[in-house]
Amino acid sequence: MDQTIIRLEDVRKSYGTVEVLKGVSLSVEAGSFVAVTGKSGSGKSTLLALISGLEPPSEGRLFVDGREISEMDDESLSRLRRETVGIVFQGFHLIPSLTALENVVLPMAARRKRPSRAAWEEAHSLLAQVGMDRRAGHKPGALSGGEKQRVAIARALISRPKILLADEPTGNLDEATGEAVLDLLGTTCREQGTALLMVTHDTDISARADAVITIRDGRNYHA
Amino acid sequence: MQLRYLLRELLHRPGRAVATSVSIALASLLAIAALAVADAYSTGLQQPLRSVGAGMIVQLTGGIPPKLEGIVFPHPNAMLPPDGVMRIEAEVDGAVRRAVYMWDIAPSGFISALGVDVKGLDRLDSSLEAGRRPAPEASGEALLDGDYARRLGKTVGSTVAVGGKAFTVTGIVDSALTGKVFRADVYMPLSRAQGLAAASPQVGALYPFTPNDVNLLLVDIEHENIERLTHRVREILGSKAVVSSEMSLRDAIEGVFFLSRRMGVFLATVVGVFAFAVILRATATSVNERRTEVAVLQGLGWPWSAIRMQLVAETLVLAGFGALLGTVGALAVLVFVGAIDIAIDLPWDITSTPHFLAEAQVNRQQLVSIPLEVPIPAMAATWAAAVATSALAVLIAVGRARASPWHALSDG
Repeated sequence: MDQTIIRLEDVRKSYGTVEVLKGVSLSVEAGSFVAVTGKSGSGKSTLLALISGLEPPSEGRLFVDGREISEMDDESLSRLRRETVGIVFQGFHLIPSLTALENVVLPMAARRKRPSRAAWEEAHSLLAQVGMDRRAGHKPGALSGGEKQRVAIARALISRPKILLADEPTGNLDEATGEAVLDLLGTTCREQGTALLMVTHDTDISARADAVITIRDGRNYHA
Repeated sequence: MQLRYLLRELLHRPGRAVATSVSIALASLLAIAALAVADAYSTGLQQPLRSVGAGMIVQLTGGIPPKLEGIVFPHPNAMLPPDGVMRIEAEVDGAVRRAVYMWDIAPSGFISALGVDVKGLDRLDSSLEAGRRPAPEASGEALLDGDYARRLGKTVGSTVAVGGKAFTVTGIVDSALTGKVFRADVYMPLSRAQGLAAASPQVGALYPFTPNDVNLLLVDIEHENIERLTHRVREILGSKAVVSSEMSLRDAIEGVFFLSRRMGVFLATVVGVFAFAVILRATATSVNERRTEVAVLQGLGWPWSAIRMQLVAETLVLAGFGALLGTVGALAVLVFVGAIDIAIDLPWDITSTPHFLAEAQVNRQQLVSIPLEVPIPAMAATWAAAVATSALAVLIAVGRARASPWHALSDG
């Protein structure tokens, strides 16, 4: 049975006259941990942007969970991000006006209706899983960087996505906190069978991955 | 739309919430107050003519009588042609009251007299302060103006002479209620006035006046039809037609601050445009500040339509609160001010005192006090405008925040 969850076929992406990705082809197995490395500006983050559907490719075909997303409309792409893809950012990007618990449940409120009781319970459970259940009522302004990232991870996992995209999730954290966050990401994704695609500069992190994709001059090289 | 998120967001940015609401409140207050004052002025302009039960008075310019003695028509009033009267009556489906207005000039002074039909007498009933109205067909009964009666010491049962004919006073009308437009010292049934005018040598010298003719038409007409009928009357009677209405009184309002209903709408529109600019700027700034947040919502799987709805709902809550605040403020202002006084210099053609007399200038001015009323349609329009402009502002601002969510997230 085909276990491929992400497949790119000669994907290119240009911003104006600048071609960032010059023909990337790759595939990612379900439940695997793939590190994406490369120099700054090489196109690592752009790769995640394309896979999440937040940016359209200029050329090529891009399949996520068996569906080609290149031609999807906003509604379908939103559903994809809501149900299949979770995203964790370097800058956490929690909503400052909401509590940690409300931030976690926010993806479940995307369809113009109130989150269900089950969604709130799931959010509580996830916060407990990332060790943040006692801080559930706090707003992001009252949380440390490591705590914010834990909340962001819980938020990304609430819909039990098949894919988790992490863009340098430890980049703003000190070494100890970053290590804890990495352990959390690895453990949680393994438990949920979620494929983890993580952009990183850290070779120690790359060493933990099942596969490493290096982006250089807009093209990818597998290690 | 997520109510919890909406309320949290509004409370999280109190400065923005207060600034937007207060802008809308001020705009609403100004718009409602301006429209209320404009309504009051417009109502005030109708008052002088309404005091004789008309929205429009039609006359014809005539000649100067050979001698200013006995019964004369007030210069420049003339007899109205019978066919013209009937055509005008046909234009307004009979909502016309015929009348004869005249002066009885003697070396010792003058008397003004107005002959009105049954409807006119009905109207004078409401102004009676003593006695009763004259019977329409009675040959020698009349009402006296209160001021005139007191000046001459007349009471109910006294007699008064007009055109050499004696009339028994059956009632006294309250001068304060009859206004100054064609105020008469003596009010009598139309047929008696027509008879006096038809028998007058000075009237006869100028016009073939018969006991069926008139020199005034009091037209009961609504505000929105005045312009059309004015035009039509001038077509029927020609260039010598004198048509008095709230339109012709506009220039007679004292003071520089003049508001017509149209001007009120114009001012409210200017205020609305200004408010829209303020709201658009505030909303654009707010959305720009939240560009990353919008991108996060996109990243979490919120469809663009849901994000837009959320932001529109936030702004509409502020707009609704602001409009409510402005309305309450406007109502407070209207209650506090209470009423406005408008001094109107009546044109010569509808005043009652001969212009060659010294007191004529004094008697021309009519003071109208108009209570400021709550303009319900204006309030509804203001609310609709506040909601519509706010929604439009946020839609314009949000549209610009949609592009490149990943860049917003990466930059953040």
